[in-house]
Amino acid sequence: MIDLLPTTDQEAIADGIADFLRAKMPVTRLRPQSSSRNPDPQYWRAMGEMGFFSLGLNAEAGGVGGSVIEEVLAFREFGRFLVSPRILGSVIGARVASQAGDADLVSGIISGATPVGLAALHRDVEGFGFPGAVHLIEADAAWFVFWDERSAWLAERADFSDLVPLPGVDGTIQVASARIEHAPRRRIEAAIEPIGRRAALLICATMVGMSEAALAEAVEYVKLREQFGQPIGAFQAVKHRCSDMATRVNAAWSQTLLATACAHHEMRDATFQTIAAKIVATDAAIRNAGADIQNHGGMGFTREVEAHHFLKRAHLLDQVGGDMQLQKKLLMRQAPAL
Amino acid sequence: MRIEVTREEELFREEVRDWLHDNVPKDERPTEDVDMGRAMRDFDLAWQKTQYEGGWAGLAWPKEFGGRGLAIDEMLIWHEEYARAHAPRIGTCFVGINHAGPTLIARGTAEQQTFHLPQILRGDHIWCQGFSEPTAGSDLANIKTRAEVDGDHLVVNGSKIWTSYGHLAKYGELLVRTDPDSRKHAGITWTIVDMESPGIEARPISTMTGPDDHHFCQVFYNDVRIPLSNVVGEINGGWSVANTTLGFERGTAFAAEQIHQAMLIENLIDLARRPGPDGRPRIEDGEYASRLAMIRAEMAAMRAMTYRSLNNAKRNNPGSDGSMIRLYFSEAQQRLKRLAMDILGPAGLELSGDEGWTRLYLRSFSVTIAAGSCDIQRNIIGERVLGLPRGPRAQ
Repeated sequence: MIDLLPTTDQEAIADGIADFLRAKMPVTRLRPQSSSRNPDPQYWRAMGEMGFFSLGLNAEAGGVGGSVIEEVLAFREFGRFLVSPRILGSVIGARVASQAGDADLVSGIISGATPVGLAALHRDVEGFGFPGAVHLIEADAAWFVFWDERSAWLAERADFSDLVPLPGVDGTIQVASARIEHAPRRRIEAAIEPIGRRAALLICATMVGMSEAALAEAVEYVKLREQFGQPIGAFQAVKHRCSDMATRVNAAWSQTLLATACAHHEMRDATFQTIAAKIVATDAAIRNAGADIQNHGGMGFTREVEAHHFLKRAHLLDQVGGDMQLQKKLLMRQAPAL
Repeated sequence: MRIEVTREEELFREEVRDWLHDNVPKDERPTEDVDMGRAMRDFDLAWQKTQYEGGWAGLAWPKEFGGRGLAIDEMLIWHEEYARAHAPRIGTCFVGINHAGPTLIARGTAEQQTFHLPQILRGDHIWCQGFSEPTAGSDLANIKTRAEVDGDHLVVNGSKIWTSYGHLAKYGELLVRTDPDSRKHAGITWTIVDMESPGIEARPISTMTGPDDHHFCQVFYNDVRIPLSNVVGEINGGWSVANTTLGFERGTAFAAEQIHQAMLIENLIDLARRPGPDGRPRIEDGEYASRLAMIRAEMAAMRAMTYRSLNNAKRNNPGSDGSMIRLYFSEAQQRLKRLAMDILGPAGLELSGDEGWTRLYLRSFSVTIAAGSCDIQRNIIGERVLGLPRGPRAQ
């Protein structure tokens, strides 16, 4: 049997996280009047105390001891509230550090004292090769985590050369181009633990959360905004766009849950289903963000509305762990077993 | 959240697999153009009879009505093995098994159930559905086919359209307007009609999959007398009965079709691995590979949506996701068939057999129209799921 519905206990964990985020980190925190800098580092210690970075780490490693299921449910909420991508870097970075036996680094990361950034790799379908070029995301971090299908690596800032900070697509997230000459010492092979696949599931969940938030924002707006004497949501052109957004969310979340269940039970199909999930979840996030902008009309093009953040974050995350075009190539190397 | 295979499920799967292996017809299913579809109907009925004799008829029907009473998880196993065994499509038996039977089980009288249900299960006859009319398609409640009560009969005048296999069916489900002063949903009655009654004329409609397809009919009813004992539910209470039927149509009955489509993308990937018109496998071309991968991912997601929907239904928490699944499924399979044409290249110009890609491509234009067009599905999602303001609607 296949049961894709979270238990009430699992849902309660996600609800608790959502309550914290709603109270402390509403998406309005990203509006330009607050700051054009990333506002999230100021919450990092509090999030660490809540155990947000160690949900899926076992208790011996100082973690909460949950499974990938709890992590996926949590990341859907992180996506909904546009939590800075360093959350993914921290959760996955702690996992690599833990496998590498670096207990001090683990405790630094999960406490929130040592946030971890991400590296988008310049690579082909065979994987990443050293020396190689990267784009760093959250480029002010001291540590960076990255992975391909065979390995996951955790690198110190000093491991990179030619590091050039650049204006980033999402103004709140720092980006830099860099090179890395040698494979970092902290390296975990996928055969030992498929950390990259786990990261992909968390990206999927984040993308779903963003798709849902974009949908909710769009629906709320088109119910209120009136033109020609009625709410624009009554017009089929607008209504149908919202229906398509909802359908994409349903597809992406269902597939993410299926892939998560496969990974949790170490099914033969887990890799295939995860790649499929990354494709549909990325597609949903990018297209729903675009539809959210369109539904807001001129306001959607401004920085007063959060719609643009959903779009930019979706593109950032698309580049982490291999973008959609690469995922499609990887999917064609697999066969479904379910 | 879990995925597990229990010992019972394993045994059940083995039982299904063994039975299908021994009983799936070896002969190819005749196409619609042979003897105006009669050969195909007889083939479908014979296969239905085989399933009945093996104890596999009416899988979802409750046991007290002669069905197998399978749980949802067992149904999925059956459909998966059914697709793997290349068993024939349910075809002309669809309306009887998936619409009429379940409606009679839910709303029919004891007499109607006793008379009709065994015949449907045994594969004695096929049924057809007389719902849509030339002026009532998406706006189904606008039907005008008139039925007057005359003694203990209804007398029906009017015409129905898009009646699949209307010329081959013994019985039909018919929606008629019994109260001429009523508007829309009120005043409609759901009745069984014997398609061999005097005054019925079924004219096949030639469609774009032709030139010789015999699928849809327009059916004309001229002073057709139907015993009142054929009415299902109350006179003027047919709309709620019809919604029972539509509920089945949009529910689990599509799981089998979805599994079939998921297999089609794998077939198409195999085709793309063979040399194309330029001698090179299409799959080596990035554009084809990208489109194949996208549809492969979408087909996976479609199944995941179905599983989640069935999980919800099992917890007595039926979601309003039926329209989303239907919409996603229809459009994805349309893209799949279009991609098949592009992969075939010049070979796609040959009008294939019934299950060949060109025929499937042409037929795919109906899937975004039939059983509630995609436009209607989007309205339903927008209004019932998202709570957006309703659009124009006559009262």
